[in-house]
Amino acid sequence: MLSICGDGRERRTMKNRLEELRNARGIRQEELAAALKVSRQTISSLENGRYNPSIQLAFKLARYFELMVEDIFIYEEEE
Amino acid sequence: MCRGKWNKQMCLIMLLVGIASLLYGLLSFLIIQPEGHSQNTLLGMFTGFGAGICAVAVFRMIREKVVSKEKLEQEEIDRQDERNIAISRAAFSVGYCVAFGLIAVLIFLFMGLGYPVPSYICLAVLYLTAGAAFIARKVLEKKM
Repeated sequence: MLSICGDGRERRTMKNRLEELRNARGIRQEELAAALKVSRQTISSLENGRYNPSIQLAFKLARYFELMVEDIFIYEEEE
Repeated sequence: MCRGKWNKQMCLIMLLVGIASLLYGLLSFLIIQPEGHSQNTLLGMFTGFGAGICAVAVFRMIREKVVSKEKLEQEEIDRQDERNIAISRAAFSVGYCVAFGLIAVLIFLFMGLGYPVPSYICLAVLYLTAGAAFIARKVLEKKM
């Protein structure tokens, strides 16, 4: 899927478990966005794979869910 | 809040620039009383620009007082949101490329229509824009 990442370049192979983790904890997108001080649209775009976060936001998310970054984001090498 | 203070200072600067431009346009028109059409238009532009900037500054000042704190905070989050910033940068890049192409077209168009001076001005703008992009790239290369 084509997406824009934090530095504006295109990436195709980043997946994440954000929606799954958020739903498991019963958190709404608005609540997660408020906790991370980002817009709700950013959370929505992350979940849909349309946007890849900056390293700072990835760490913020990892800390919020008390997980490692690799547990949330899955990078697959493109052939 | 930092944002509020920044906004206040920004509004004040805008207001001062607006008043200066407005007064320059009005007083020059009243004192000099220009006869040429282009001089009249130029002073009108100064007056209009000043009035516009003043109006925006006053609107922003009033808005800061009227709009709720929660909404202002949300707007601040949206403003600093990294996705919004990435989108703006991508949009500016597209705008820059389009502007660059349009100026290049204008250079040929003006010359073809027999207006060499605007053509040279466009050429100068093109070189300046390219130069600014080149310098910005060099500075950013050192920073990153």
